Amino acid sequence: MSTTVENGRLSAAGNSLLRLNAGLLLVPALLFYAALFVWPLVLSTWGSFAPAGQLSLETYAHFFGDEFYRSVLWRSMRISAITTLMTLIIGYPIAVYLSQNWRKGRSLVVFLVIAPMFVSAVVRSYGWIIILGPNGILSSLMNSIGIPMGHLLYSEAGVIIALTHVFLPFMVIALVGSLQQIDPSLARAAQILGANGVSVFLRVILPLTLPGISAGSVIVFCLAASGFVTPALVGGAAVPVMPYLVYKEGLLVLNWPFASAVALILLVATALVTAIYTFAVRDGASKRRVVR
Amino acid sequence: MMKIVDTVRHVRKACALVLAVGGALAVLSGVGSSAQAADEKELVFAGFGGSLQKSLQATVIPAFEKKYGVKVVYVTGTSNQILAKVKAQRNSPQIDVIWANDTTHYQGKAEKLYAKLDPAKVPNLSQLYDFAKDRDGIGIVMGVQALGIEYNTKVFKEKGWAPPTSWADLWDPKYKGHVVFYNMPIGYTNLLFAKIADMNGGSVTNLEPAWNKMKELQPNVLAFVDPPAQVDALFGTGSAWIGFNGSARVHDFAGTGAPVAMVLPKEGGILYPQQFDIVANAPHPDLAQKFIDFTISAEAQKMIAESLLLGPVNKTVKLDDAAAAKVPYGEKNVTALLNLDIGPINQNLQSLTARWTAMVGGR
Repeated sequence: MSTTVENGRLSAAGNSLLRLNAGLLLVPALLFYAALFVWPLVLSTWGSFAPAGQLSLETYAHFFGDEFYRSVLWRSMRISAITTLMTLIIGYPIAVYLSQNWRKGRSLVVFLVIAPMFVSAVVRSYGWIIILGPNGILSSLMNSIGIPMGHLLYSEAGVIIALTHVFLPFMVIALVGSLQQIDPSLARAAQILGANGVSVFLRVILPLTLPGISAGSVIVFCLAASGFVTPALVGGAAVPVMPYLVYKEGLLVLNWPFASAVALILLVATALVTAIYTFAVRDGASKRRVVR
Repeated sequence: MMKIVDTVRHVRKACALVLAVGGALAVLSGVGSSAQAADEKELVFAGFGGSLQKSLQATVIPAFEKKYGVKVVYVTGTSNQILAKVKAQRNSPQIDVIWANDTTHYQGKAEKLYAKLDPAKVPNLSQLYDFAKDRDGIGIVMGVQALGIEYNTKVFKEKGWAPPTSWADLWDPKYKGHVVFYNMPIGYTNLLFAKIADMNGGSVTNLEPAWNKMKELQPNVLAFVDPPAQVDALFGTGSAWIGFNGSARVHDFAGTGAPVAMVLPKEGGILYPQQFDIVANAPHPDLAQKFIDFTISAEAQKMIAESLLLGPVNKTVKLDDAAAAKVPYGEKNVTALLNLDIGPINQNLQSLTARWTAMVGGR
């Protein structure tokens, strides 16, 4: 019997009503996810294993048997991993700056970081076409200072630059949350015990933000792996990624079983990579705690 | 024990709620469909978006609505998205008439997704050029573009170059890194690919010469693109110097002040038809036939030529000089365009596209 009368007025019936309501609160979300996520996933999984109505691994054999498709999967994972690393490297200093509330110009930095999210992905990507293209600002600038360079449009580097720009806010937000939870007296205590700035950061702050790094990395990695508009417009057909293959097979040639298979392979690969990564980071964090 | 009883009660209540909501939805949708079936006051049309949609909704559609006192619902999509929708709704079609391009017309026809025209309900068929009538009486060509070479007039003027004259000009090394090429399976590419095979000793059933020729072209190419808007973006920024495109797209973009022009190469411009097809078992079959008939009337064809920049397929249409300059017009000009049969390409589109994707993505 779990019903307790805590303040003397709440009856057992009232309490059970509360619990009922709490359960009901989830119903819209559950229906929503069941209809728009679980059911389509079941359908497309079935479609990928039964291209002609009966069970077969044909689509998967086709994917893994072709060097080109394997290279696309590898490229997707590589682009996502480098993008994640770039957002971490650029985002960490920003997050440290933002987590110190008294800094001046904080709201301007917040605005600059968040602003890309206000602009539609299509418009933003067209902006990149102008910046990275053969007549773009970047090439013109480099050429004018005497460093001749080609253009980055339709190259993997261009895609990574654009994706890093788009997903930086997610990393920064995750890191700020983690940094703000750190008790400032910990850093002071370490300093009093003789640690210099570098070792305070490496041995106190960094380990304590591992959960934030882990969360931010998983979010950015998944978004980058499933991103379609930016790679399609900035990388185009020359830099095909998994979502581009899904689009091409699903919408242009209407090969739905194969499109489903590609989508599912992407889902499983992304889940695997993030699971291994999260496990490694947690493992590292707990080992550190034991040593300490 | 109490807990289990509670839980069961909650589950029962939740189920009742779900059933009630579901029931209400079922009743609502039932009411909707019976009202539709009673009299055909509505036509569901699935067509292309952007400026084409705007033009059609400003001219042909209101004229049709007024003439028959009906309402046209416009569903937007690309030709492939529309075909995908029709395919997905095969068992309970929601759309009456679709806008197809050459590829999706033949793909859908092969999959038996479209209904036949009833000549008694489409009397205007007698006024069409022969090529505009489908051999099997399924759908009609509602307008044509000419596929030709698009080039950047500003760049050409600066460099002092004469306008291109041949499809082979795309391979000219002086355009290195500035050629824009659509991807397969975009309709334009499928047609040009057959022509490239033909120009290099192959045919639509022997495409190997075209594949070899495409490999030679790759160093010249800035981008292989899917969305037509990206071609405009690249020409607009001056990154693209030369490419191929449909006449309506080029003239539409040039109309915004962009530095582009089109030439029909000496080997011939390619006829690029656009079809309207009636969906098999459409919810409003009678109105669908009337819509097709109205579309190919001289009145509607003139509107289509002037606002959508698609050449008329009705022989009786008279255009003024300004409109005639932007579309394939007149028996002599229209019949001079190459009317390619790319059936074998359409049949192998999946494997050809896979090979194409690997070719352009493997650089």
